[in-house]
Amino acid sequence: MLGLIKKDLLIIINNFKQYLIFILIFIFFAFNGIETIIYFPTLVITMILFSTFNYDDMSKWNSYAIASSITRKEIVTSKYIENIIYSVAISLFTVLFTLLISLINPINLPHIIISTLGSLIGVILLFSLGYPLIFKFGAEKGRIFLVILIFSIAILIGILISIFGISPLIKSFASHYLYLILILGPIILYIISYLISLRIYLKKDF
Amino acid sequence: MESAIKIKNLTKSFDNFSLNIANLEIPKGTIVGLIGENGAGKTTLIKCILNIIQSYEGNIKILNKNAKEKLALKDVGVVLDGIFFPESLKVKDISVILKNIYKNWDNTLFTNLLNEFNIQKDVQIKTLSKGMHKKLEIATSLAHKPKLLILDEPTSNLDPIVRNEVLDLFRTFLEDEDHTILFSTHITSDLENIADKLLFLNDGQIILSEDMDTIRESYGLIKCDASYFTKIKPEDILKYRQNKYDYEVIVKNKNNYVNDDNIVVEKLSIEDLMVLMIKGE
Repeated sequence: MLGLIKKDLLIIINNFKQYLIFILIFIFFAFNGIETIIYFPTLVITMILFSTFNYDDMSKWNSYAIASSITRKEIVTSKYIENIIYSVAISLFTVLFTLLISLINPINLPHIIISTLGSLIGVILLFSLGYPLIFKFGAEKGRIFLVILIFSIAILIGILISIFGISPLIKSFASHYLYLILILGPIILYIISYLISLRIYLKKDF
Repeated sequence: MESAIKIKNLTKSFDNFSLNIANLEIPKGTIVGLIGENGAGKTTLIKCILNIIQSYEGNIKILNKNAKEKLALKDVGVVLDGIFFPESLKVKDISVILKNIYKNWDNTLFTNLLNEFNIQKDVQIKTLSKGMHKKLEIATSLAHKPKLLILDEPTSNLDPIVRNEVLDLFRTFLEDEDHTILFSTHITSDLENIADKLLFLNDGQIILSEDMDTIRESYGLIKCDASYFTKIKPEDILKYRQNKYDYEVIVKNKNNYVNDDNIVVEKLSIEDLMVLMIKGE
Protein backbone atom coordinates (compact mmCIF):
# COMPACT_ATOMS: atom_id res chain seq x y z
CA MET A 1 0.00 0.00 0.00
CA LEU A 2 2.81 2.39 0.89
CA GLY A 3 4.34 1.71 -2.52
CA LEU A 4 1.11 2.80 -4.23
CA ILE A 5 0.87 6.01 -2.20
CA LYS A 6 4.52 6.76 -2.98
CA LYS A 7 3.82 6.08 -6.67
CA ASP A 8 1.16 8.79 -6.81
CA LEU A 9 3.32 11.19 -4.79
CA LEU A 10 6.15 10.69 -7.29
CA ILE A 11 3.75 11.25 -10.21
CA ILE A 12 2.70 14.55 -8.60
CA ILE A 13 6.31 15.58 -7.96
CA ASN A 14 7.39 14.71 -11.52
CA ASN A 15 4.51 16.74 -12.97
CA PHE A 16 5.04 19.60 -10.57
CA LYS A 17 5.95 22.05 -13.34
CA GLN A 18 2.44 21.71 -14.75
CA TYR A 19 0.94 22.79 -11.46
CA LEU A 20 3.34 25.71 -10.87
CA ILE A 21 1.12 28.14 -12.74
CA PHE A 22 -1.76 27.42 -10.33
CA ILE A 23 0.47 28.07 -7.34
CA LEU A 24 1.61 31.39 -8.82
CA ILE A 25 -2.01 32.42 -9.44
CA PHE A 26 -2.84 31.48 -5.86
CA ILE A 27 0.00 33.51 -4.40
CA PHE A 28 -0.78 36.52 -6.60
CA PHE A 29 -4.44 36.63 -5.58
CA ALA A 30 -3.69 35.73 -2.00
CA PHE A 31 -1.95 39.04 -1.49
CA ASN A 32 -4.93 40.83 -3.03
CA GLY A 33 -7.54 39.46 -0.66
CA ILE A 34 -7.31 35.83 0.37
CA GLU A 35 -11.01 35.39 1.03
CA THR A 36 -11.91 35.37 -2.63
CA ILE A 37 -9.73 32.41 -3.51
CA ILE A 38 -9.83 30.35 -0.37
CA TYR A 39 -11.21 27.37 -2.29
CA PHE A 40 -8.40 27.43 -4.81
CA PRO A 41 -5.86 25.04 -3.16
CA THR A 42 -8.46 22.33 -2.56
CA LEU A 43 -9.66 22.71 -6.12
CA VAL A 44 -6.12 22.27 -7.44
CA ILE A 45 -5.39 19.24 -5.26
CA THR A 46 -8.66 17.67 -6.42
CA MET A 47 -7.62 18.15 -10.01
CA ILE A 48 -4.18 16.71 -9.30
CA LEU A 49 -5.58 13.64 -7.52
CA PHE A 50 -8.01 12.95 -10.33
CA SER A 51 -5.16 13.30 -12.84
CA THR A 52 -3.20 10.47 -11.17
CA PHE A 53 -5.88 8.12 -12.52
CA ASN A 54 -5.16 9.40 -16.04
CA TYR A 55 -1.47 8.62 -15.73
CA ASP A 56 -2.37 5.16 -14.38
CA ASP A 57 -4.74 4.47 -17.25
CA MET A 58 -2.37 5.67 -19.96
CA SER A 59 0.25 3.05 -19.07
CA LYS A 60 -2.29 0.43 -17.93
CA TRP A 61 -0.62 0.58 -14.53
CA ASN A 62 -3.49 -1.20 -12.80
CA SER A 63 -2.87 -4.39 -14.76
CA TYR A 64 0.81 -4.18 -13.89
CA ALA A 65 0.04 -3.58 -10.23
CA ILE A 66 -2.25 -6.62 -10.06
CA ALA A 67 0.39 -8.76 -11.78
CA SER A 68 2.94 -7.44 -9.27
CA SER A 69 1.10 -9.14 -6.40
CA ILE A 70 -0.65 -5.96 -5.23
CA THR A 71 -4.20 -6.82 -4.23
CA ARG A 72 -7.15 -5.07 -5.81
CA LYS A 73 -8.25 -4.03 -2.33
CA GLU A 74 -4.92 -2.29 -1.74
CA ILE A 75 -5.25 -0.39 -5.02
CA VAL A 76 -8.70 0.97 -4.09
CA THR A 77 -7.85 1.60 -0.44
CA SER A 78 -4.67 3.51 -1.28
CA LYS A 79 -6.60 5.97 -3.47
CA TYR A 80 -9.15 6.64 -0.72
CA ILE A 81 -6.48 7.02 1.95
CA GLU A 82 -4.25 9.34 -0.05
CA ASN A 83 -7.22 11.50 -0.92
CA ILE A 84 -7.86 12.06 2.81
CA ILE A 85 -4.17 12.74 3.46
CA TYR A 86 -3.87 15.33 0.67
CA SER A 87 -7.23 17.00 1.30
CA VAL A 88 -6.58 17.44 5.03
CA ALA A 89 -3.00 18.55 4.38
CA ILE A 90 -4.06 21.15 1.82
CA SER A 91 -6.78 22.44 4.17
CA LEU A 92 -4.24 22.87 6.96
CA PHE A 93 -1.92 24.56 4.49
CA THR A 94 -4.68 26.95 3.44
CA VAL A 95 -5.39 27.97 7.04
CA LEU A 96 -1.71 28.35 7.92
CA PHE A 97 -1.04 30.28 4.74
CA THR A 98 -3.89 32.69 5.41
CA LEU A 99 -2.59 33.20 8.94
CA LEU A 100 0.71 34.17 7.40
CA ILE A 101 -1.03 36.55 5.01
CA SER A 102 -2.96 38.03 7.92
CA LEU A 103 0.30 39.53 9.10
CA ILE A 104 0.15 41.76 6.00
CA ASN A 105 -3.59 41.91 5.29
CA PRO A 106 -6.01 41.55 8.19
CA ILE A 107 -8.45 38.69 7.59
CA ASN A 108 -11.59 37.24 9.09
CA LEU A 109 -10.15 34.03 10.58
CA PRO A 110 -13.40 32.23 11.53
CA HIS A 111 -14.67 32.86 8.02
CA ILE A 112 -11.48 31.41 6.56
CA ILE A 113 -11.68 28.28 8.72
CA ILE A 114 -15.35 27.70 7.88
CA SER A 115 -14.69 28.26 4.18
CA THR A 116 -11.76 25.82 4.26
CA LEU A 117 -13.81 23.20 6.08
CA GLY A 118 -16.59 23.79 3.56
CA SER A 119 -14.25 23.15 0.66
CA LEU A 120 -12.86 20.05 2.40
CA ILE A 121 -16.40 18.68 2.71
CA GLY A 122 -17.00 19.58 -0.93
CA VAL A 123 -13.91 17.69 -2.02
CA ILE A 124 -14.88 14.61 -0.03
CA LEU A 125 -18.33 14.66 -1.60
CA LEU A 126 -16.78 15.04 -5.04
CA PHE A 127 -14.44 12.10 -4.53
CA SER A 128 -17.22 10.02 -3.02
CA LEU A 129 -19.22 10.42 -6.18
CA GLY A 130 -16.26 10.35 -8.58
CA TYR A 131 -14.16 7.40 -7.45
CA PRO A 132 -16.70 4.61 -8.06
CA LEU A 133 -17.32 6.03 -11.53
CA ILE A 134 -13.60 6.16 -12.29
CA PHE A 135 -13.00 2.65 -10.97
CA LYS A 136 -15.87 1.43 -13.11
CA PHE A 137 -15.33 3.36 -16.36
CA GLY A 138 -11.71 4.55 -16.21
CA ALA A 139 -10.37 8.08 -15.72
CA GLU A 140 -11.62 9.72 -18.93
CA LYS A 141 -15.17 8.38 -19.07
CA GLY A 142 -15.50 8.37 -15.28
CA ARG A 143 -14.90 12.11 -15.11
CA ILE A 144 -17.46 12.82 -17.81
CA PHE A 145 -20.03 10.70 -15.96
CA LEU A 146 -19.14 12.56 -12.75
CA VAL A 147 -19.95 15.92 -14.35
CA ILE A 148 -23.22 14.50 -15.70
CA LEU A 149 -24.03 13.04 -12.27
CA ILE A 150 -23.37 16.33 -10.44
CA PHE A 151 -25.52 18.30 -12.88
CA SER A 152 -28.26 15.68 -12.67
CA ILE A 153 -28.28 15.79 -8.86
CA ALA A 154 -28.30 19.60 -8.85
CA ILE A 155 -31.14 19.76 -11.37
CA LEU A 156 -33.10 17.06 -9.52
CA ILE A 157 -32.77 18.89 -6.19
CA GLY A 158 -33.74 22.15 -7.89
CA ILE A 159 -36.84 20.59 -9.42
CA LEU A 160 -37.85 18.87 -6.16
CA ILE A 161 -37.50 22.12 -4.21
CA SER A 162 -39.41 24.12 -6.81
CA ILE A 163 -42.27 21.59 -6.77
CA PHE A 164 -42.47 20.66 -3.11
CA GLY A 165 -40.55 23.52 -1.46
CA ILE A 166 -38.49 22.77 1.63
CA SER A 167 -40.75 21.26 4.25
CA PRO A 168 -40.59 22.84 7.73
CA LEU A 169 -39.65 19.44 9.10
CA ILE A 170 -36.48 19.33 7.00
CA LYS A 171 -35.73 22.96 7.87
CA SER A 172 -35.99 22.34 11.57
CA PHE A 173 -34.03 19.05 11.34
CA ALA A 174 -31.29 20.74 9.32
CA SER A 175 -31.01 23.72 11.67
CA HIS A 176 -30.82 21.48 14.73
CA TYR A 177 -28.34 19.00 13.38
CA LEU A 178 -26.50 21.12 10.82
CA TYR A 179 -22.97 20.41 12.04
CA LEU A 180 -23.71 16.75 12.64
CA ILE A 181 -25.03 16.42 9.08
CA LEU A 182 -22.09 18.33 7.65
CA ILE A 183 -19.54 16.18 9.42
CA LEU A 184 -21.17 12.75 9.50
CA GLY A 185 -22.80 12.99 6.06
CA PRO A 186 -19.55 13.16 4.05
CA ILE A 187 -17.90 10.50 6.24
CA ILE A 188 -20.78 8.05 5.74
CA LEU A 189 -20.92 8.84 2.03
CA TYR A 190 -17.16 8.36 1.72
CA ILE A 191 -17.34 4.93 3.39
CA ILE A 192 -20.26 3.87 1.18
CA SER A 193 -18.33 5.12 -1.87
CA TYR A 194 -15.29 3.08 -0.81
CA LEU A 195 -17.37 -0.07 -0.44
CA ILE A 196 -18.96 0.44 -3.87
CA SER A 197 -15.56 1.05 -5.51
CA LEU A 198 -14.18 -2.05 -3.86
CA ARG A 199 -17.09 -4.14 -5.11
CA ILE A 200 -16.61 -2.81 -8.64
CA TYR A 201 -12.86 -3.30 -8.63
CA LEU A 202 -12.83 -6.80 -7.17
CA LYS A 203 -14.92 -7.99 -10.13
CA LYS A 204 -13.20 -5.98 -12.84
CA ASP A 205 -11.27 -7.49 -15.76
CA PHE A 206 -8.57 -5.51 -17.52
CA MET B 1 7.97 -33.19 -11.81
CA GLU B 2 6.48 -30.25 -9.92
CA SER B 3 4.49 -27.70 -11.87
CA ALA B 4 5.14 -23.97 -11.95
CA ILE B 5 1.78 -23.38 -13.62
CA LYS B 6 -1.13 -25.78 -13.60
CA ILE B 7 -4.35 -25.01 -15.45
CA LYS B 8 -7.53 -27.09 -15.40
CA ASN B 9 -10.69 -26.47 -17.41
CA LEU B 10 -10.01 -22.80 -18.02
CA THR B 11 -12.76 -21.00 -19.94
CA LYS B 12 -13.03 -17.32 -20.59
CA SER B 13 -15.61 -16.11 -23.07
CA PHE B 14 -15.91 -12.76 -24.80
CA ASP B 15 -18.51 -11.70 -27.36
CA ASN B 16 -16.54 -12.95 -30.35
CA PHE B 17 -13.85 -15.13 -28.82
CA SER B 18 -13.41 -17.72 -26.17
CA LEU B 19 -10.37 -19.24 -24.51
CA ASN B 20 -10.69 -22.92 -23.63
CA ILE B 21 -7.84 -24.81 -22.04
CA ALA B 22 -8.73 -28.18 -20.58
CA ASN B 23 -5.37 -29.05 -19.17
CA LEU B 24 -2.00 -27.34 -19.14
CA GLU B 25 1.01 -27.97 -16.95
CA ILE B 26 4.27 -26.10 -17.14
CA PRO B 27 6.92 -27.99 -15.20
CA LYS B 28 9.40 -26.13 -13.02
CA GLY B 29 12.81 -25.58 -14.57
CA THR B 30 11.56 -25.25 -18.14
CA ILE B 31 11.23 -22.42 -20.62
CA VAL B 32 8.02 -22.59 -22.57
CA GLY B 33 7.31 -20.56 -25.69
CA LEU B 34 3.74 -19.59 -26.41
CA ILE B 35 3.01 -18.94 -30.07
CA GLY B 36 -0.01 -18.25 -32.21
CA GLU B 37 -1.53 -15.69 -34.53
CA ASN B 38 -2.59 -12.25 -33.32
CA GLY B 39 -5.88 -12.74 -31.52
CA ALA B 40 -5.24 -16.44 -30.83
CA GLY B 41 -5.60 -15.85 -27.09
CA LYS B 42 -1.97 -15.62 -25.90
CA THR B 43 -2.41 -12.36 -24.01
CA THR B 44 -5.80 -13.46 -22.64
CA LEU B 45 -4.20 -16.63 -21.30
CA ILE B 46 -1.37 -14.64 -19.69
CA LYS B 47 -3.86 -12.17 -18.21
CA CYS B 48 -5.88 -15.03 -16.71
CA ILE B 49 -2.77 -16.57 -15.19
CA LEU B 50 -1.83 -13.20 -13.67
CA ASN B 51 -5.33 -12.50 -12.37
CA ILE B 52 -5.61 -9.36 -14.53
CA ILE B 53 -8.62 -11.14 -15.96
CA GLN B 54 -10.32 -12.84 -13.05
CA SER B 55 -13.83 -13.62 -14.27
CA TYR B 56 -12.85 -16.96 -15.79
CA GLU B 57 -14.09 -20.44 -15.04
CA GLY B 58 -11.68 -23.16 -14.07
CA ASN B 59 -8.66 -23.41 -11.89
CA ILE B 60 -5.20 -21.90 -12.22
CA LYS B 61 -2.35 -22.68 -9.85
CA ILE B 62 0.91 -20.76 -9.80
CA LEU B 63 3.84 -22.11 -7.82
CA ASN B 64 1.40 -24.34 -5.92
CA LYS B 65 -0.93 -21.50 -4.98
CA ASN B 66 -4.33 -20.65 -6.35
CA ALA B 67 -3.73 -17.75 -8.75
CA LYS B 68 -6.44 -15.69 -7.07
CA GLU B 69 -4.91 -16.12 -3.63
CA LYS B 70 -3.21 -13.15 -1.99
CA LEU B 71 0.53 -13.04 -2.72
CA ALA B 72 0.25 -15.90 -5.24
CA LEU B 73 2.25 -13.71 -7.62
CA LYS B 74 4.95 -12.56 -5.21
CA ASP B 75 7.58 -14.78 -6.84
CA VAL B 76 6.50 -14.02 -10.40
CA GLY B 77 8.21 -11.47 -12.62
CA VAL B 78 6.26 -10.02 -15.54
CA VAL B 79 6.83 -8.22 -18.81
CA LEU B 80 3.51 -7.33 -20.42
CA ASP B 81 2.89 -5.77 -23.79
CA GLY B 82 2.06 -2.06 -23.31
CA ILE B 83 1.50 -2.42 -19.58
CA PHE B 84 3.94 -0.78 -17.18
CA PHE B 85 4.55 2.13 -14.81
CA PRO B 86 3.11 5.60 -15.51
CA GLU B 87 5.41 7.24 -18.05
CA SER B 88 6.00 10.45 -16.11
CA LEU B 89 7.83 8.52 -13.40
CA LYS B 90 11.61 8.37 -13.45
CA VAL B 91 13.50 5.10 -13.81
CA LYS B 92 14.81 5.38 -10.24
CA ASP B 93 11.24 5.81 -8.92
CA ILE B 94 10.51 2.19 -9.82
CA SER B 95 12.87 1.09 -7.09
CA VAL B 96 11.30 3.44 -4.50
CA ILE B 97 7.88 2.00 -5.28
CA LEU B 98 8.64 -1.69 -5.70
CA LYS B 99 10.80 -2.03 -2.61
CA ASN B 100 7.59 -1.29 -0.70
CA ILE B 101 5.74 -3.96 -2.65
CA TYR B 102 8.12 -6.89 -3.06
CA LYS B 103 9.81 -8.26 0.06
CA ASN B 104 12.65 -9.59 -2.09
CA TRP B 105 13.28 -6.40 -4.06
CA ASP B 106 17.02 -6.06 -4.60
CA ASN B 107 18.05 -2.52 -5.35
CA THR B 108 21.66 -3.47 -6.13
CA LEU B 109 20.52 -6.10 -8.61
CA PHE B 110 18.18 -3.54 -10.23
CA THR B 111 21.01 -1.00 -10.51
CA ASN B 112 23.33 -3.64 -11.97
CA LEU B 113 20.75 -4.63 -14.57
CA LEU B 114 20.20 -0.98 -15.51
CA ASN B 115 23.95 -0.52 -15.90
CA GLU B 116 24.16 -3.68 -17.99
CA PHE B 117 21.43 -2.31 -20.27
CA ASN B 118 22.88 1.25 -20.28
CA ILE B 119 19.69 2.74 -18.86
CA GLN B 120 20.09 5.99 -16.93
CA LYS B 121 18.29 6.19 -13.60
CA ASP B 122 17.44 9.88 -13.61
CA VAL B 123 15.39 10.02 -16.78
CA GLN B 124 11.63 9.85 -17.12
CA ILE B 125 10.32 6.57 -18.49
CA LYS B 126 8.62 8.38 -21.38
CA THR B 127 11.98 9.58 -22.73
CA LEU B 128 13.21 6.02 -23.33
CA SER B 129 13.20 4.52 -26.79
CA LYS B 130 10.99 1.47 -27.38
CA GLY B 131 13.94 -0.87 -27.05
CA MET B 132 15.22 0.79 -23.88
CA HIS B 133 11.70 0.72 -22.47
CA LYS B 134 11.50 -3.01 -23.04
CA LYS B 135 14.89 -3.50 -21.41
CA LEU B 136 13.72 -1.52 -18.39
CA GLU B 137 10.64 -3.75 -18.15
CA ILE B 138 12.87 -6.82 -18.24
CA ALA B 139 15.25 -5.41 -15.59
CA THR B 140 12.24 -4.60 -13.39
CA SER B 141 10.83 -8.10 -13.79
CA LEU B 142 14.07 -9.67 -12.56
CA ALA B 143 14.97 -7.40 -9.62
CA HIS B 144 12.76 -9.02 -7.00
CA LYS B 145 14.40 -12.39 -7.70
CA PRO B 146 11.34 -14.19 -9.05
CA LYS B 147 11.08 -17.95 -9.50
CA LEU B 148 8.74 -17.71 -12.47
CA LEU B 149 8.88 -15.24 -15.34
CA ILE B 150 5.78 -14.62 -17.43
CA LEU B 151 6.60 -12.53 -20.46
CA ASP B 152 4.32 -11.27 -23.20
CA GLU B 153 6.43 -10.46 -26.26
CA PRO B 154 9.59 -9.69 -24.25
CA THR B 155 11.87 -9.46 -27.26
CA SER B 156 9.70 -7.35 -29.56
CA ASN B 157 11.22 -3.96 -30.47
CA LEU B 158 14.70 -5.18 -29.61
CA ASP B 159 17.54 -5.21 -32.10
CA PRO B 160 19.26 -8.60 -32.63
CA ILE B 161 22.21 -7.73 -30.40
CA VAL B 162 20.09 -6.71 -27.43
CA ARG B 163 17.74 -9.60 -28.10
CA ASN B 164 20.64 -11.97 -27.67
CA GLU B 165 21.64 -10.20 -24.45
CA VAL B 166 18.12 -10.67 -23.16
CA LEU B 167 18.06 -14.32 -24.15
CA ASP B 168 21.38 -14.76 -22.32
CA LEU B 169 19.78 -13.20 -19.24
CA PHE B 170 16.97 -15.72 -19.50
CA ARG B 171 19.47 -18.56 -19.83
CA THR B 172 21.28 -17.34 -16.70
CA PHE B 173 17.93 -17.12 -14.91
CA LEU B 174 17.24 -20.74 -15.83
CA GLU B 175 20.53 -21.98 -14.37
CA ASP B 176 18.61 -22.31 -11.13
CA GLU B 177 16.64 -25.54 -11.62
CA ASP B 178 13.73 -24.14 -9.69
CA HIS B 179 13.22 -21.28 -12.18
CA THR B 180 10.67 -21.29 -14.98
CA ILE B 181 9.80 -19.04 -17.92
CA LEU B 182 6.61 -18.78 -19.93
CA PHE B 183 6.91 -16.35 -22.81
CA SER B 184 4.84 -15.47 -25.82
CA THR B 185 6.55 -14.40 -28.99
CA HIS B 186 6.27 -13.81 -32.70
CA ILE B 187 10.00 -14.14 -33.16
CA THR B 188 10.36 -17.80 -34.01
CA SER B 189 14.16 -17.78 -33.90
CA ASP B 190 13.94 -16.99 -30.17
CA LEU B 191 11.99 -20.17 -29.67
CA GLU B 192 14.50 -22.19 -31.65
CA ASN B 193 17.31 -20.66 -29.59
CA ILE B 194 15.97 -21.01 -26.10
CA ALA B 195 12.65 -22.81 -25.61
CA ASP B 196 12.35 -26.31 -24.11
CA LYS B 197 8.74 -26.64 -25.02
CA LEU B 198 6.35 -25.07 -27.47
CA LEU B 199 2.70 -24.27 -26.88
CA PHE B 200 0.71 -23.40 -29.96
CA LEU B 201 -2.50 -21.51 -29.36
CA ASN B 202 -5.07 -21.07 -32.10
CA ASP B 203 -8.53 -19.61 -31.76
CA GLY B 204 -8.39 -19.90 -27.99
CA GLN B 205 -7.28 -23.54 -27.90
CA ILE B 206 -3.96 -25.33 -27.59
CA ILE B 207 -3.46 -27.10 -30.90
CA LEU B 208 0.07 -28.29 -30.24
CA SER B 209 2.07 -28.84 -27.08
CA GLU B 210 5.42 -30.41 -27.80
CA ASP B 211 9.01 -30.55 -26.56
CA MET B 212 11.41 -28.63 -28.77
CA ASP B 213 13.78 -31.63 -28.75
CA THR B 214 11.01 -33.78 -30.22
CA ILE B 215 10.30 -31.15 -32.86
CA ARG B 216 13.99 -30.94 -33.71
CA GLU B 217 14.66 -34.66 -33.73
CA SER B 218 11.41 -36.23 -34.93
CA TYR B 219 9.45 -33.62 -36.86
CA GLY B 220 10.32 -32.88 -40.46
CA LEU B 221 8.98 -31.13 -43.53
CA ILE B 222 8.49 -33.15 -46.69
CA LYS B 223 7.85 -31.48 -50.01
CA CYS B 224 6.60 -34.07 -52.47
CA ASP B 225 4.25 -34.78 -55.33
CA ALA B 226 0.77 -36.28 -55.08
CA SER B 227 1.89 -39.84 -55.68
CA TYR B 228 4.45 -39.77 -52.86
CA PHE B 229 1.96 -38.02 -50.57
CA THR B 230 -0.28 -41.10 -50.70
CA LYS B 231 2.63 -43.24 -49.50
CA ILE B 232 3.11 -41.25 -46.28
CA LYS B 233 1.50 -43.05 -43.34
CA PRO B 234 -1.54 -41.04 -42.17
CA GLU B 235 -0.47 -41.46 -38.51
CA ASP B 236 2.83 -39.73 -39.33
CA ILE B 237 1.13 -36.66 -40.77
CA LEU B 238 0.61 -33.75 -38.42
CA LYS B 239 -0.54 -31.27 -41.07
CA TYR B 240 -0.23 -30.89 -44.80
CA ARG B 241 -0.93 -28.31 -47.44
CA GLN B 242 -1.67 -28.96 -51.08
CA ASN B 243 0.02 -26.35 -53.30
CA LYS B 244 -0.37 -25.94 -57.02
CA TYR B 245 2.50 -28.28 -57.91
CA ASP B 246 3.36 -30.09 -54.71
CA TYR B 247 2.44 -31.03 -51.19
CA GLU B 248 4.03 -29.69 -48.02
CA VAL B 249 3.72 -32.20 -45.22
CA ILE B 250 4.76 -32.00 -41.57
CA VAL B 251 5.64 -35.50 -40.45
CA LYS B 252 5.92 -36.44 -36.79
CA ASN B 253 8.36 -39.25 -37.45
CA LYS B 254 10.85 -38.05 -40.03
CA ASN B 255 13.16 -41.02 -39.45
CA ASN B 256 10.71 -43.18 -41.41
CA TYR B 257 11.48 -41.06 -44.50
CA VAL B 258 15.02 -39.67 -44.29
CA ASN B 259 16.54 -42.69 -46.01
CA ASP B 260 14.13 -42.53 -48.93
CA ASP B 261 16.08 -41.29 -51.95
CA ASN B 262 12.93 -40.16 -53.75
CA ILE B 263 12.34 -37.20 -51.47
CA VAL B 264 14.15 -34.72 -49.24
CA VAL B 265 13.10 -34.35 -45.63
CA GLU B 266 13.82 -30.78 -44.59
CA LYS B 267 14.42 -29.49 -41.10
CA LEU B 268 11.14 -28.10 -39.82
CA SER B 269 11.41 -24.44 -38.88
CA ILE B 270 9.01 -23.01 -36.33
CA GLU B 271 7.85 -20.57 -38.97
CA ASP B 272 6.86 -23.41 -41.34
CA LEU B 273 5.26 -25.19 -38.42
CA MET B 274 3.17 -22.11 -37.58
CA VAL B 275 2.07 -21.51 -41.14
CA LEU B 276 1.14 -25.13 -41.82
CA MET B 277 -0.57 -25.61 -38.49
CA ILE B 278 -2.91 -22.76 -39.36
CA LYS B 279 -3.18 -22.96 -43.14
CA GLY B 280 -2.84 -26.72 -43.49
CA GLU B 281 -5.33 -29.51 -43.21
